[in-house]
Order: sequence, then structure tokens, then C-alpha cells
Amino acid sequence: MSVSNTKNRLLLAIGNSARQDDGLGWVFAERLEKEGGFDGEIQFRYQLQVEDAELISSYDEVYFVDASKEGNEQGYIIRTCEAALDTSFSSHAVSPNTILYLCNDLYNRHPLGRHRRGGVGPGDRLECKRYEELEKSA
Amino acid sequence: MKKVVIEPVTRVEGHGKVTIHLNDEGQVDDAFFHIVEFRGFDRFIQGHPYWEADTLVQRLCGICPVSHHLAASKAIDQLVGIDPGDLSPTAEKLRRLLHYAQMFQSHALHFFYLAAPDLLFGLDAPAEQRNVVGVATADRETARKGILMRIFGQEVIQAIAGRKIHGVAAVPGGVHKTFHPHERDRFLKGSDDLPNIDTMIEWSKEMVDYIKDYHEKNHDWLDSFAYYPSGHMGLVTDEGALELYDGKLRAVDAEGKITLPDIENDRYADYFREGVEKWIYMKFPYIKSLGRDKGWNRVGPLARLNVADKITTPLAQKEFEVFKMLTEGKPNNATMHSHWARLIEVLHCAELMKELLDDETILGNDLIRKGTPRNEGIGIIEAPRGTLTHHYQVDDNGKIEKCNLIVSTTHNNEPMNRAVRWVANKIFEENQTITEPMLNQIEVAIRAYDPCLSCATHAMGQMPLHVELYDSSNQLIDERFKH
Repeated sequence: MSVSNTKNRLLLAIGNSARQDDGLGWVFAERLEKEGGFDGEIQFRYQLQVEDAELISSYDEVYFVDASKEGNEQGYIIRTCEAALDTSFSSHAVSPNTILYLCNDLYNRHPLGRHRRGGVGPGDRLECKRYEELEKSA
Repeated sequence: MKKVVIEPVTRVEGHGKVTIHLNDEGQVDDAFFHIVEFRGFDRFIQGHPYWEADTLVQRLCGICPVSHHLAASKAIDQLVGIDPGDLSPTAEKLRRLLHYAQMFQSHALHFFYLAAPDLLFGLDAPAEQRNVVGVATADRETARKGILMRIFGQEVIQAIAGRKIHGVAAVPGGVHKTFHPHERDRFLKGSDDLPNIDTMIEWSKEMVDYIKDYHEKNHDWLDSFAYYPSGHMGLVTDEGALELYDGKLRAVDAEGKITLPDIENDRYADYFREGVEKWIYMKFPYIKSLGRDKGWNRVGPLARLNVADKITTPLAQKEFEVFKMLTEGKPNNATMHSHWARLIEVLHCAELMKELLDDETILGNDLIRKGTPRNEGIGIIEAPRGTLTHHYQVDDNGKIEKCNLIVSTTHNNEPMNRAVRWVANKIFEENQTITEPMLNQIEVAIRAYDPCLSCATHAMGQMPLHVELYDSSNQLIDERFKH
């Protein structure tokens, strides 16, 4: 499930391709893998877990990519991801901010985090428009 | 009457809700643990060919998919004419290694990520501290070890099943992939990014020492919190030892009297019934001869140590003896001792993994056996949270006609409700004011069972919720739909 090139950059695609548009992050990452559009390692996740803090501690830059109902006219948002505590409802799914925070706190490593959120959410169907947005974004 | 609602219940897998009903005097009239997800997996799997089942049922859960995969595989083996003892030695050992790695990583997740905050910070700690991030901040070394223990188990799973979550290792009558020496050596010797199995054993022992020390200092609340007598059930070997993959079903009552005498897996339906209640989707399994009120059992780490006479690995056996001394050999009914039992099982699984990694048979290539097809298969294993049963019936074309899944959390349904009632009574006996730490106590009692609510209801995806409100004369006065 991963393509290893360099330890400088990691892309974590988050979602579930069996749950319609929740798999958008995976589709995006699979396209990058296929077309060679990302110079770094790509890994796929249903959800982020605490142990991902250990994984990202080996990288300088980390891109978190997942689906979202948020979105601007382009259909996606890319923003810098700050290390921050987020004690959300379930420990089974951890936010990118918390993963960065744990990485800083446990391993004293400070990778640069970016979070790309596609403009759809679980329950929607992958539509042609979304693929067009992926094209632009990729 | 006043009703207190806690929703959602946090740090458990899935969504649950608790309601406490107070009478006019402010005393607890009753308390319930509701599972608000809808049951469905064992229905929609009907009509599928049997060879799809062990892959489909894994989607019940993202925490213990390996357990469902293996329980289903044991049942499917029988559909192709292979009983557990007929598997090739290599296939059985690879499945066992996969199973022990699953137990190891799941128990590590529960202890370090879910339970540890309650032990480290106590019941009165602020909510923002009672989480895995709080643990990491308070004890970095322990947190780093916990993370690597979970990663170790996941890496073993990936080496055998191809993926950490929802991988496939078993096929009807065996396994589909050889385990290569370089894969084995990574776990035996360690690598740049992964400690070796000896380190896992050492750290597991440290965790057992930690809980013993914690008990020494905190036995007042650990021994008494949510304590209640109950039956206990689990698998044992022919010699009565703790067994996790394939054994006979044994149950004992609160005093240790045998209530289920080491029965074969294929006879489970002769001994069990499943009760239903209108306020919860989850069923209530019980031993038929004892009835609905007395025949329920706890399952999981505490229950397994209560039914077993011994453990087959030396370090875990030593800790088992210490654990049994607490109750002078009688069953241990202290809910919070589940965490102690769970850590003894972590140590046992680490030792078992080393035994298998040292065994050259595991590298063999005799992977699949064939037999004469049958129409019924029953697979029972001990999943991390307790006894897990998969039962399939197929037609002559191999199409599934009937499926029954009794998961660990279903057995623990009645025990969790008992624990909630114990805590509710204690809270409102001491103080009529509801505080956040009080509510956390209810969650602590539930959390000790490591419940997996999505498994227990066989939920899939986002389910609509229909809420109905009745008055004291049982008249519907309101209803809400959530889509």
C-alpha cells in the first residue's frame, strides 16, 4: 500500500473507498501514484491513528488528504496544519493536528504539515465534477 | 421521574448511550446501556457464496477484523470438510501467529489509548486530560512503548495478511501465502524501525509489573469499583489451559462451579439462547439450562483467566498464579481487574508469538487441505474482547442461507448493564448532584469490557436513528428521525 521514494515527504490519504465519496482522498492519492505526481511516499488510511505520530516523525513534510463537505469554488482547500491538541470524541480517529502535536511531543520532531480537504463527504457519490476538481488539484 | 442521559459514551468503539431513571426520591429506579446502532451483517450476508464470508465479515470492525476473519475461516473450513485439527501444521501456526498478533495490538490499543487515562489520572481528572494525548504528555516513555507494541502487532498482521486492517490470510482449508524467512527474521531480530519480539516480551512484563504496582497503591477502588458476582466463559484446551484460537467452551459461576462443562464448538446452539429487549439492538446470550436471569456470562480477559486452570507460557503462568492468589483461586469478580488480566494476556501473546517465530514449521509451503463439502460450519475463537462465534449454513451450491454471529460484546451486554447499575446506585447514594467525574465513572465501568459496539450490532455505515418517547402509561408522546 505504499510507494517508497524518499524520506522527505509523506502523503497520508485518509478515507474509505467502500463508502462512496469518503474515498476521495484515496482516489486522489492513487492518481498521484499512477501519474508520478508526488515526489515522496504515499500511504493509505481509513482513519489516522496515534501510531501515525511515530510514522511522520521520519519525514520533513507531511500532507494529509481527505474528503470533506467543506470546500471553496475550486472544490478543495489546502491549508497549513498546525500541531494542536484536539481531544475529539473517539480515540479511534485522531485529527492531523493532534498527530503533529504527538509527533512533536513524543519524538521531538516537527514536520511541516499540510491538510488538503476535498469538497465532498460520506454519503455523496463520486461525480465527474469531483474528478475535474481532482485533476486541477493534482 | 427524572432521566439522566449520557451520550455519547466516549473512548469505546462505536456509539452508545446510557440512561438513568430516578424516582421521585432521587434514587436510581433503573439504568440502561443502550446501543443505538442497527444490527444487520448476519442478514445481508445471506445469499452470498460462503467463500466471500471471511472477507465480508471483517468489515464489521476496524479494530478486530482479524478475529472475525479467523472465526469465519474456521467455520468455512468445515464447509469444505476441514475440521480445525485437519489443517496443515503450517497453516494452523500461521493463523495462530496472526491471531496472537491481533490480540497483542488490540489489547495494547485498549490499555494505552483507552484505559490508561483512567488509571493514570483518576476518576476526577478533567475531561481534557483523560485521553491518550494526556497519557503521552504525562509519561512519554510508556506512550512510546505502547505505540511500538501496537505497531509490532500490526506489522505481523501485515506480513501475514497483506494489510494491517482488512487483510486476507485464510482461505477455505488453510492459508494462501507462505511466510518468508526475511519476514520472520524482522520480528525475531528487529529492524531499524521495529524492536524485536524479545523486547515486546520485556515491555509486556513491564506493563504487568506496572498494573501490579498500581494495584498495590490503589486497591481500594480497583477491587471494589463495579464489583458484582457473575458467570464467566471462555475457551480452554483439553488440559484446561487458557486457549485463544481453538478449544472447548467452559463456563463457571461466581463461585467457580462449572456451568458449561468443556463443550465442543459444534454443540454451542444446544446450550445457548439469545434474549432480546425492546430498548436495545444488541441481544443477551445466556446458558439455556440456567435461564435468562442466571445464565449470562462475562467474556474477555478477566473471564478467560477465571475459567482457565493454567497458562501454557512460563512468564504469563507466573503472573497468572499471582493473579489467582488475589481471590484464593476462586473467580475474580472485580470489573477493574479486567485490565490486569488483559495485560497478562498481552504477555502470553508475546510469548506465544516468539514460540511460533522460532518454529521452522511456520515457513513451510503445505498451506491448503481439501475435504468433503458440508452444509454447516461453526467457528469459535477468543477475540480480544471475548468469545466470538460465527455460524453458517449453506445450500448445495455453497450459497449462505443462514448466518448467526454472537460477538464478545453481546455476551458482555448484561455484564455492562450490571456495571452501569452498580455505578449509578453508588453515585446517587453518595451525592444527588450530577458532576462530570461522576458521569466518567459510568464510562469507566463500561470501558473495562473494551466493548466494540459496531461489532455487537453488526452495524455498517451510517444508520438512521428513530427515537420514540413514551410516557409512564406507555403512550407514544413524541418521536424523532435522524437520517
